[in-house]
Amino acid sequence: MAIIEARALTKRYKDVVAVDQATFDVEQGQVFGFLGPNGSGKTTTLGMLLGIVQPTGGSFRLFGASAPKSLVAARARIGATLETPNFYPYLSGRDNLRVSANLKGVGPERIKECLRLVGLTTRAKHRFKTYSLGMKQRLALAAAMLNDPDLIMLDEPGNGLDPQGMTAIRELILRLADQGKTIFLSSHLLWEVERTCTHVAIIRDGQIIATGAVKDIVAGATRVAVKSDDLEQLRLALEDYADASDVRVRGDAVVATLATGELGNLSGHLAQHGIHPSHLAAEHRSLEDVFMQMTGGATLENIS
Amino acid sequence: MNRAWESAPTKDAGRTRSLARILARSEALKARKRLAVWILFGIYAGAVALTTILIAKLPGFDELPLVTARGWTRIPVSAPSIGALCLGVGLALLVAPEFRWRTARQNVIDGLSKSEFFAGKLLLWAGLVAAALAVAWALGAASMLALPPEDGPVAPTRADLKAWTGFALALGVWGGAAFLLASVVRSGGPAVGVLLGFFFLESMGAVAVRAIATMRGWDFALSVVDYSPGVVADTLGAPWLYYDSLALMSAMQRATAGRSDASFEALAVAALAYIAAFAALSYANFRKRDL
Repeated sequence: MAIIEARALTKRYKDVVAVDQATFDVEQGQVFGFLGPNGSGKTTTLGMLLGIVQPTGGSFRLFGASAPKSLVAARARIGATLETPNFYPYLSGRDNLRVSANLKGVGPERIKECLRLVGLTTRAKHRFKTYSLGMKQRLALAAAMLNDPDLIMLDEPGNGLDPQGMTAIRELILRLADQGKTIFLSSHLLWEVERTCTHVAIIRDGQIIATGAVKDIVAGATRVAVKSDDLEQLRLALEDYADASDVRVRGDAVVATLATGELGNLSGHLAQHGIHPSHLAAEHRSLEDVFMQMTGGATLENIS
Repeated sequence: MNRAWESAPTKDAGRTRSLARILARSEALKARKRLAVWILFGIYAGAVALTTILIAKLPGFDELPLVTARGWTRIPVSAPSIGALCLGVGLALLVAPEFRWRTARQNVIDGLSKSEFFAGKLLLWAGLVAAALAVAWALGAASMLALPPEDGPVAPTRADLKAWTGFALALGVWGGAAFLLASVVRSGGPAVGVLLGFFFLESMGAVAVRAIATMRGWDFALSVVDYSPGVVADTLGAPWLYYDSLALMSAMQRATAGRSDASFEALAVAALAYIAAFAALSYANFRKRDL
């Protein structure tokens, strides 16, 4: 069953199209990663799905019912945070959860349980403004879990977390997924997304440029590394090869993405150019490789 | 689409009551935890208590300009003005960050519609007015028990009740102005600054306009000044409006100052109109923004 169905979802601010005809599905039980460089439209898309930002075109359905009519009912089944953790700085972690719990109709026992789940029990009475970024993120996750939602939407949940914190959040997300929850998260931590998510959508300049299972997206094309004495000649030959794209010199090798993954044909093509490579091998592609290729080589620092 | 997007869920009476409880609980929890609220209420209560005691200890206090002169509670004439000031500052400090922080967004994600979120802030406004009245009443009642008048307290008169209503409306106008500024400026300090600046300039402007209008016989200008927000709030908090014994003295003072006569009813309508306008403008400003 599709939990989220976005169809040509569009948000236009005067002359700027922040999200352009975004279409994707999130099925029940998926851990769905939403990836894209800064300003690509991720948060705007999340905002539209949460009813915070009003779409200027397209439509979406939540839990099978069309929004915005279903939004109020749907929110009762959603736990979410958007952008940075949004809490009252002068209230303690527990009191902030009490404010959320009051709106969601949740009792104090659940607050206690959620604080325990994210490891904030001992700091619950301290003011939010004294929390580290990692603690703020964990409190945001606790708030999102308060109403035991079917769909959890998180914006950059790994921001500011140390490796232990990251592992704890990942394990928590996976545990929630094991319970049948659907998780929709945006993240700039591509390796974390690869380890956590079952499915992804990649968005660039407001347009969804790829969506599907992580394993399919990663396996969709082959990355090869080729070594030869004359790297410049090798690079030109690879650029001349029809199946190759994203050709780059990396150290003492030239790397490229092959659409077909046929190394034999590539070898023949290089031979025609008088190149007999000392090394020609397929590399394991990571989600980061795919992301770099699809977003035009955006650096990790530019990705959020 | 726009209408449906921001519409609240079903509007049956049960849900409205339950929603009001939820909003009131949230706002009370947040207000209780703000140090600024306690400090401002402390200043207000201290000032009201001090003047109440001083007035009660003076001989012939019944003749003094008390808002409720001989009812079962005494409220000194300073209460409406200091109450309005503290309430305005407190409300600006409480409300402005609500519109600046992303907590408004989170409240909506957690289940409120934008209108419901805004309604919560209106409840806060009403709650603070009620709290300011309650503090004044409690202190006045306590002073009656501790320092009773020679002939004992008497039941509140119609004039006393009017004075209470005027007090509440004066607080409402100041609170409304603070609320509007807080929702537009969205920063507590600047909102307080603009609020105080506005009322200072308004009172200075009123003096200047009165002087000129009196000299030139511009009756219309005098009426406009008398019904500007700060002057309406100020007049509604003045005891001469309610007690005949003070009215004559006041009429002479007003004539000297070039101020026209005012009726409680007209001022009350003006105050309610300002309160409604401040709330409506705040909502219009809030509604047009994405969170």
